[in-house]
Amino acid sequence: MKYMKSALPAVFGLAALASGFPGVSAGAEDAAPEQEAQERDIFGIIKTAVNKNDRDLLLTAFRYPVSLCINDRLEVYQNAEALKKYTLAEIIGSEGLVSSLKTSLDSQSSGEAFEVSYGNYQVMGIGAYVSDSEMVGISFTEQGIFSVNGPGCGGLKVPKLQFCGDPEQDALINMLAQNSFWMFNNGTYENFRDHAYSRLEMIPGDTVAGGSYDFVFEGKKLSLERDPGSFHSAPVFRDAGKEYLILAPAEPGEEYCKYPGLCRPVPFVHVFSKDRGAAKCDPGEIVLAEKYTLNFCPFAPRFNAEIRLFTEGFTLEQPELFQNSYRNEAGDMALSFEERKVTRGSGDESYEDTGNFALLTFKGQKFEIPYSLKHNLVFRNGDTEILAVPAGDYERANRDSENLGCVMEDQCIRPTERMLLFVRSGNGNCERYPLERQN
Amino acid sequence: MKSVFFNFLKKTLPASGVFLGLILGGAAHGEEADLFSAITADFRAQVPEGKAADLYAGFCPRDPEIQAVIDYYVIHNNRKRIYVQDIPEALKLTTQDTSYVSRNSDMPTRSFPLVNWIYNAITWNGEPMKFYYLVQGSWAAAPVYNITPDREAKPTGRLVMVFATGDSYNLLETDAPEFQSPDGCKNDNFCNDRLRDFNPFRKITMVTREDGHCTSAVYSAARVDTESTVSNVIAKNEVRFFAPHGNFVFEILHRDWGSADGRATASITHDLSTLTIDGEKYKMIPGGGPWNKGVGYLKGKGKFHEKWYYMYPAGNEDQAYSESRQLTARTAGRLVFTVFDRTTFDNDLWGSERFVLYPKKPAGKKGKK
Repeated sequence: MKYMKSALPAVFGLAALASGFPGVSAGAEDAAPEQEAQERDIFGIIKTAVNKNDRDLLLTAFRYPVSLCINDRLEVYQNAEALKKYTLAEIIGSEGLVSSLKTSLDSQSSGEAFEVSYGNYQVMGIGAYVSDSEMVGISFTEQGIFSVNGPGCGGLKVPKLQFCGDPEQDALINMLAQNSFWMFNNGTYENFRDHAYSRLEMIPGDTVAGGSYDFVFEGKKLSLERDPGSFHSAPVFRDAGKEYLILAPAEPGEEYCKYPGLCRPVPFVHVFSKDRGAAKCDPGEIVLAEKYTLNFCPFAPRFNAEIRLFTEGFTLEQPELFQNSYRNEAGDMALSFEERKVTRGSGDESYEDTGNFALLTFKGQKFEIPYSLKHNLVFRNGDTEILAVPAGDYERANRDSENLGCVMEDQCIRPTERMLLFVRSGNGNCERYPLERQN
Repeated sequence: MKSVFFNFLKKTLPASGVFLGLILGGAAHGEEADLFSAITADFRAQVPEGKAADLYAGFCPRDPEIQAVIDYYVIHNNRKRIYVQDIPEALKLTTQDTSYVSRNSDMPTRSFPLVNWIYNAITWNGEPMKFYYLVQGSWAAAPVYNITPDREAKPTGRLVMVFATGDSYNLLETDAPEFQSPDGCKNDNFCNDRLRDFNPFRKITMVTREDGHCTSAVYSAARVDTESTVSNVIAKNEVRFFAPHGNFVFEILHRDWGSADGRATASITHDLSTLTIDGEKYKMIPGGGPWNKGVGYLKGKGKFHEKWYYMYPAGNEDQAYSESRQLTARTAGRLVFTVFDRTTFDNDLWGSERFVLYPKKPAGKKGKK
């Protein structure tokens, strides 16, 4: 059940952390002057409080209510008074961490605390590391500290949530929340079955300031506004009429961020909804699945399984794949690749570059898209989408290239014998066509 | 390093306030401690009337992750009448799910066959816990057992709770024939749109408790994928796709097989199959019952004597698609073996080896009778 147990120590465990936190100033210049001043205030309070072992001063910096794990117990604290039964060291984690934090803060100015934007607000963070079981990360906005996190309470936790008012649904929410990945991955998630067609577009918060989410429910596009006070691994979104709780739990035994910065999409997203202010949820939750690896052909599970088989876990670096050409027996389908000069930018800024294009002929229709090594090829024509997936005997492909990395890591070379075309119409129905390699 | 710090920070930002009201957890009162000391002290212990809910609510107070799972499945499985005692019956609906296996490292576990399915399932610090005494008054949806390695011994103070958790992956794979509801959808509650074909016994969870500390393990029904391929997504997908519970059935019609590097060869026949690794020949003894050749152990003189293997046939799925939309058996063009260096399917991969074998003759003789 410890789906995420390795995530925090793995990140903390890097030796570099022990030597202090290097500055990251991304986005700092965009902050409004008064916001920056307030951030400096919070930073200053933490610094002074830690230096002088002044618990009461530290408590003024929290944004209440705040959920904290203290002495291995996760609770929500409504105000400073409720935290006064603990020492500063208990709140931070240990005496060792206080001292480590002190050293670290003394060598930093507020600008050197690292900063990310999440959802629609900016977050600052400072931290200290003593050992894998003794570390802390303090996160704050201009409004105050909202989390102090370490490996206690099993790492990353949320307090018990009540959203749906039904004991079974709320228990499910809490279970999913405990195992949810805090940050949704990039991707498109769809559901064709439970209600009407639902779709969720995910744009990760750290590349798009403001964190844009697009959610199409029963054919209607919603613009969702994140509740800034909601939990990161269990965020609440709102629109004019409804509230949505969105959870992205990891599958048991699966890790989604094996390497820093290289995360696969969490395949399932669970959405609970209710009318704003209602006591009870709408019946059932919607489970959406990641479109291009799991749910491209929602009514043909075997097609989905085959897409997944030849999509997940392969190395991204395989330019030779795009030197082949493919066609079917009848000759009315063909896929080839082309490299040519393109002009990028505009006016004085324009420059010549090499562009790579995939050209598809499909039953008389012609498609052309720029391709990237990172993704499967998707050709679009209105509601119809054609997904091209390289397939074949990957054992042979990896043996022939003596790629030993395929055994343990997600570094297998894609086979190139065949290119499978999955053609999906707007209603979700799929057809499959194999094209054979010609060269 | 920047991305590492961003990741670190992201991962340490779980709780930024309260928006929904809250339940302050933790009911570790004296009364509850008494409940647990009573039921762990005596094999014949009975949960006092009206206290069963406390047993479940206070089972893993120090591990909110595990407790959250218990909280949900106790309600869910009670409401849907998904009872552990029905597991053997439910699995008779299937043809391939003959054993449960776990890859969990927190609690060293053994694979165990469907028959006597709970027997010998758990080892504790290497010691098999063979005897399970039901704690009277615990619920059928999540029965609790006192466990001990020795029938005559005093209670160890260890409890184990078992409940069915299903398999989220299969929510999308509802066409596969083995995913059926245990009661044939007689229970309307169970048969809503999404759950109709969702087999709750696809996975079961065992939680063990000693001195208030819990560990948990998820057992998959004959899905060795999670055992053999902890970090290899491709191999995991391959199992999902080609293994007997997967999407295609490939028949083994060739007798003689060999790996490309010549290290491994196999002879597959109806009566006796053998696997030769590095010149040492082993008999393949089916371990999942005669109806499932996929899981078994090896008998021979070399280092893999009495070690487990997992085997599945694979091939060119194009044939199967073009012939029919039905699940049609096609000739296997590859045999994939994972041979474990242990008698358990655990996640210590370093001892396991994977061999991919190809037919020795392009159009070989049929090995099957």
